[in-house]
Amino acid sequence: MLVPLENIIHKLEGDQGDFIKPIRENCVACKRCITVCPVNLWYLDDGKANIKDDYKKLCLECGACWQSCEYNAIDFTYPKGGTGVIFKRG
Amino acid sequence: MKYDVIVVGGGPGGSIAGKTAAENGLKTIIFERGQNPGEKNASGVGLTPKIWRDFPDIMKEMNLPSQRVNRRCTAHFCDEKGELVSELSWTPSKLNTYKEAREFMTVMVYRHQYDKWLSTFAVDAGAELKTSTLITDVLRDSSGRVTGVVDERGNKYEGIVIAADGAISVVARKAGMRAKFGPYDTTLVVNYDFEAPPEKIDEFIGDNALHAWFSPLYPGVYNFFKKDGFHIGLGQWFGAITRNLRGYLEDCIKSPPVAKMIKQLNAKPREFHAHQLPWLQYPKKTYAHNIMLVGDAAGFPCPLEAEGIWHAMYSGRLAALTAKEAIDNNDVSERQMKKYEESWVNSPLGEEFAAGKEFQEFWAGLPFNTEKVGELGDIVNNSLNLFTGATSHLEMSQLFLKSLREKGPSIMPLFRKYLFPYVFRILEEELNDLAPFNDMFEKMRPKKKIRRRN
Ligand SMILES: Cc1cc2nc3c(=O)[nH]c(=O)nc-3n(C[C@H](O)[C@H](O)[C@H](O)COP(=O)(O)OP(=O)(O)OC[C@H]3O[C@@H](n4cnc5c(N)ncnc54)[C@H](O)[C@@H]3O)c2cc1C
Ligand code: SF4
Ligand code: SF4
Repeated sequence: MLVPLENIIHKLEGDQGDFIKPIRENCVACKRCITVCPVNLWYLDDGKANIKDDYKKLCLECGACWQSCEYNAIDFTYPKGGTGVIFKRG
Repeated sequence: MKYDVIVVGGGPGGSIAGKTAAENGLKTIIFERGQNPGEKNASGVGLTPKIWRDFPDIMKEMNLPSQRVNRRCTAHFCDEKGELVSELSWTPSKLNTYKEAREFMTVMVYRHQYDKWLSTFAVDAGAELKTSTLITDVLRDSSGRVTGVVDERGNKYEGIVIAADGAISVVARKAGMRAKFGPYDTTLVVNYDFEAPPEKIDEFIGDNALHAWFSPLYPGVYNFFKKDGFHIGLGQWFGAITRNLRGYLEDCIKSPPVAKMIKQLNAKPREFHAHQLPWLQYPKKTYAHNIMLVGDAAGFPCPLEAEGIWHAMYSGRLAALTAKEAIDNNDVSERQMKKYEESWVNSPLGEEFAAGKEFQEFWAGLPFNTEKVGELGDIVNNSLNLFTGATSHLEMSQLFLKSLREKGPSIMPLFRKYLFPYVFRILEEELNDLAPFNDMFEKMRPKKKIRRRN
């Protein structure tokens, strides 16, 4: 890490809603989500993938976890309109 | 609520679709989930001259605080420790067919500024822009055909749908037009934005504002300079990701030549981004009854280097023109919408995909292949060493050929598989024009063998 990620990831104000949910019964613990998430929000918990409780602080809404899961074990939508990550210099 | 045209997504594709539809007298609404267009989007981002060629009235007005004109590209080849081995630079070719392309290679901007500015053209033309609004589903009639969209609060909007909602496209998936992209259809791109004093960038970088870094340490890295900062990022197809991409990127940032550049510019990390970038051999189906997909939602980025802003804008315009025709004919059937696909296939956009397979495979097989890219760097470096005086030119040439022969078994299959098909595909017809050269080479070939001592 070059600098703490929370210093360089910015969020809009407001309740984002729950936009990512692990579907534990479908998970085969292949760990692809853990490998791809650019801000390391996934971990194995009792043999199944889980997302950190405070994922909304750093999640970039890239959908990489969902995209890489081949077992339909991640439910991904976007946060509520007008909330979530803001790229001021994207 | 009823509209003629509903555009989902306020990126470049959505804004041009909205502008074109409104200009043609259609009642148009654009939905954007961000508070402002552009704040959810991350790109390099280099705007290519094609945008000036095809959208001159808009682009002649562009004057954004972050913009930096790029007139020179430099590729840096580094070894397995990340140390610099050789460099190549190039400037706009005089062979280019129009003025802007001969003058600059890209203009670098931030999306927050570009997308927001572009959306003002849609609004000025009369389109309604509804921000902070997430579209979550499509509306269907009793026979299951798409008739509009639904937002997160359950509000319903009827009209012809233009899905400009990017790689993940909720609309394309809910409409049943495609599932999520496959593992070699889309890439993940991670990107650091660094801030640096503009005068330092002016001094050390100037208009040499596009750099690319290649090393066995990381898949190809792009490095684009704006007025007061730069992006440095890399991507990979999902199917080929075996290690966290931020790890690769940080290895590049810490490698000696990049760290030196950062120090020289007094640059500091300012923002971190990750975004998907579709990179397909050919787009998926782009139309159905009452709906069209544009830009990244359709998979339009260029199959060679994944530039996608022009592609989104161009397809957005074509989709809006098809919508206009559909409204005039009072026909939103699949057959009518097919005209959109016919129009892009027969345009410069369709031409981008003429060699889509070869283009995409070339990029995956060489620049993004960390195992092979080091050998490529050696070849470039050795060939340039033919022009130094350290070893006799004759001996160096022979050593170079010998090294090529030695590397041949590992590098030639890659060339055969990725480079040659690409060259032959794009030069198919032109290669015949080279026939006279064969004759010339034959005549030039020395009749006597050069004699060397011992
Ligand atoms: C890191 C990176 C670097 C790149 N570099 C370049 C480059 O240098 N040059 C270049 O030409 N291209 C580049 N590209 C590609 C380019 O960014 C895309 O091709 C282009 O942005 C596509 O435009 P679009 O309008 O189709 O989609 P997007 O720009 O993705 O816009 C989609 C819009 O829809 C909104 N949206 C999404 N879903 C919803 C929803 N459900 N409801 C409401 N709104 C929604 C989003 O917030 C967004 O504003 C790069 C891409 C990446 C990721
Ligand atoms: S990618 Fe899917 S299946 Fe694999 S560990 Fe993650 S959630 Fe489980
Ligand atoms: S959307 Fe992206 S940043 Fe968020 S958890 Fe998934 S992979 Fe990580």
